[in-house]
Amino acid sequence: MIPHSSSARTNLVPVALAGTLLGVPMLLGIGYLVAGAFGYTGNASPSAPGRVLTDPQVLRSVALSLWIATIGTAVSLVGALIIALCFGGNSAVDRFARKVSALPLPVPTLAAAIAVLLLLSQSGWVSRAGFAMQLVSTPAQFPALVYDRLAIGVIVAVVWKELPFLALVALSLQSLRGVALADAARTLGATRWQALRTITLPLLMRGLAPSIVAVFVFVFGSLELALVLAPSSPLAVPMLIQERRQALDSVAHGDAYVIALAASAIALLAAVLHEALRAER
Amino acid sequence: MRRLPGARALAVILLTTFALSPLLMLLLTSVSRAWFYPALFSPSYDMTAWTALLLDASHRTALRNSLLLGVLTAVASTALALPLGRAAALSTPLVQRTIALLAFAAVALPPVALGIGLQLTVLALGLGGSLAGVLLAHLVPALGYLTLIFLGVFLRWDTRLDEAAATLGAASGIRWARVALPLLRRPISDALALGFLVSWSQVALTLLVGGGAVATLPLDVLAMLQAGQDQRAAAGALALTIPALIVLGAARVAARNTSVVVA
Amino acid sequence: MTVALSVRGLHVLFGGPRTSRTNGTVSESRLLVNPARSQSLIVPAGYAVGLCDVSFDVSGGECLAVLGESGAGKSSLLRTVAGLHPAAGGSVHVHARDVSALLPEQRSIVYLHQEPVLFPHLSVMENVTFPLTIRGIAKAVAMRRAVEWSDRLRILNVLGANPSELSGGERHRVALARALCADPAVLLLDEPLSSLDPAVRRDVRSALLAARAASGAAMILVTHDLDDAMGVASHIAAIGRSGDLSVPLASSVIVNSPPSLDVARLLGVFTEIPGAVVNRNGVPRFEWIGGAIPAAGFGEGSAIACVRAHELALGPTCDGEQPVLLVTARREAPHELSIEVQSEAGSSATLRLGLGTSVMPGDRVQCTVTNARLFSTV
Repeated sequence: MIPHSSSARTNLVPVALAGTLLGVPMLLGIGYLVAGAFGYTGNASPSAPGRVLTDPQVLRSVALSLWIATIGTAVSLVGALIIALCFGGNSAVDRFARKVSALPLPVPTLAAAIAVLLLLSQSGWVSRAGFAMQLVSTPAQFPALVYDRLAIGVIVAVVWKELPFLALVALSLQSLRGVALADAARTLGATRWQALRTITLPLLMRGLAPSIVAVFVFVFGSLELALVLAPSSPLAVPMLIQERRQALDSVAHGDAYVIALAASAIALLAAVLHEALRAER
Repeated sequence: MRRLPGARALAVILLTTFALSPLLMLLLTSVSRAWFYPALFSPSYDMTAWTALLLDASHRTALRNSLLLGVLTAVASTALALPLGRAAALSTPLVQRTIALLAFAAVALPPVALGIGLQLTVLALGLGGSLAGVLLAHLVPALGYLTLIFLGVFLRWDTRLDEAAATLGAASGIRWARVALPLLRRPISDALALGFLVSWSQVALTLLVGGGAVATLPLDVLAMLQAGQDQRAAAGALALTIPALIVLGAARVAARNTSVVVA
Repeated sequence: MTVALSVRGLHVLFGGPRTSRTNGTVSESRLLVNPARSQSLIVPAGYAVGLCDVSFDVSGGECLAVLGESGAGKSSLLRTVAGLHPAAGGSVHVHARDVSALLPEQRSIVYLHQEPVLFPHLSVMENVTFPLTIRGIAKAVAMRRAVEWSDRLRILNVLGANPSELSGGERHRVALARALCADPAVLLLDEPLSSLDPAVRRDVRSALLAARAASGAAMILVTHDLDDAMGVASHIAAIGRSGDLSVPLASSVIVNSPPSLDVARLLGVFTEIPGAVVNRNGVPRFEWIGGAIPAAGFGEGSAIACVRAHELALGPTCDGEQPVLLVTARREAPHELSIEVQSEAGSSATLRLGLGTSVMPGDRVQCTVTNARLFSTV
């Protein structure tokens, strides 16, 4: 670790390492997607990307996935900010709230999805509680929260998993400088609300920006959430890719590669955005 | 909100309910017996779902595969990510950002998309439908995630420790063994835990690259759910969660150190 | 005393890769070196030449203090000598052995950072014995030596503690004990006293003196404080604005006869009186608002006279020939007085005098200068 005059030369080594270990598998994966989209892998026919990407079914799927990712991320963010701002102190209540809000963190997404299914399906526990309170008398009377077009069930699962993560990042940002900066603003004459609006929130949002992008792109591409909780019409993007890939005709195979490629492009754009935000922070 | 203790108390209650109810639901379902609508609580409890999960031969293969893949992914990705993260941290900002970008992309790529591409790659390598092929696929997001973690660790590393040891006469090998490694013990065990979790909870990559031939616990749980076996699926979901809960501390540390999610 | 450290023609570089504690960019203001002198040097990418042609010797048991402004390159100089920083030319010899191409761990030069860097995962005892255990020296022997040095530096009572439990002064003394256990030929101290409060500062200064007395190592102490320099070192050198290191001089010599205005300013003990050297009937004199001082051998032109507090006196007007000054302000500092005076023409000057001076604002005074060092500003 001692810098020698030769250190300028060794800068190429980590790039080479990273390129091989990280880049090659991804390049291969994406390369095959490209090959598949244009029919070069032998099990699909050349597909017109233009046709696929303007297909109404595909567009509805993209809209659904974007809806889930946007609302899920937004609600998680709001919840995380509330936790960071209201429970950031040192009292027993604060510490308990922080601990309990971190419980979902390590739970695998699949397990979270199954749990939400058991709770919110029309014959799930919440529905049964409604029955016990005589609000509904049959499962069908309970609103469809799972497999519904609004994907409420998915969004609930997203919030359950991602709110703790964003809360953790927000809490650590606050504990680093947040409180000191808000106090400085207060001594300069800002009211609590002004300090919150002009200092605390902008700084938190700036610090959280990379994490927000990460959550968004993760939710967008999650197969487990779509498999367990999302509607079958329209299908969420990961499910659409699966469906087309498993279809019997080879045109649909090619479609799957195109959609997968498009989803990858979105993810790569998000990666660039994430890095730009991380550096700016 | 501090001026409204009632509001705070309500918030804490809501938060606790929100956080705990899914886990409680899994627990109750896993030990329930003949729990049909509209019963609010199961009429009786037993452990058949759990015993089936842990003792059935078919599930044992899946469990073994998941453990094997998890351990191998953890070790391999940690061994690769540590030098990669360190080299990146010592490089110019441009190199750091490029590596961080690549690492994040590895995690951000939709597993379905990555899985399709890697499936073809793995088939071309002759590893289609094999454990080795699935391992290679798991390594991609695991390596990306752990590289980001080690990049963060080494960016915050106090290089003066190395300088002090050097001028006190310690050669580079000794500096590694006596100064760096002891201080890396915690990040390394966190990385091993997180690498394990990335593989342990994988669904899409295993499904696509394994081509249905490689059984893992998450895939079994999915199958049980799709077959309507709620109790077994719930037990399986909890079984998936238990190792993750054990490494709760590691997951929290990692979440604080990076902007990326796992599991 | 034999020469322990010999530096010849060293070119110290500024810049380099970012580390966790430093900003690796080269600041514009430090590139004051004459480009012609650095043209023939091979400079790695990301670096620029900061100090040129640095040469000095330090004998065993001696301490050289290097003074300089912030950013002058004092730390870079030490780090280059220690091998932690690349050099663009020149050589470093330790006990007549050329170590220029050797790794830091092979040079027998211990470098102490400004903030003591203790290994957090080792106890204080393990920290102190570190240089011995890594050489394979038996634990019992190592502990004995550690106890010897700890006794001299008065840290016996914290040997069983953890670094996180130590106070600032204790951390400095532990780092010093550890360095001395390494039995170095050269000890480099990078501003060890800068960030300390007065009590801790005195404490660490006495530890440094004890270290200097007990070990035979050559010491270089980098500081921007003359008190610290004179309190610990036998010789003082200064890094001037042009990136040169002045010839090391004994402390008493440099304080009374600084080699340049730059160095005089760094020493910080002089009143600077602007004026001009004028030939009056063939006799050169330095003329300023308060009078004239003989300037034998000096050429005509603007100049600055540097005068120490005890070489200035202000008294009631009695000499008709000397200009009269009006005292316009008086400020008291811990060790001196700062008096502002104004001439009849309206020009003013600020004089630093001893605390015994009793002039007050409004007084009319005349100034006596018993000794001055003149520096041309042409």
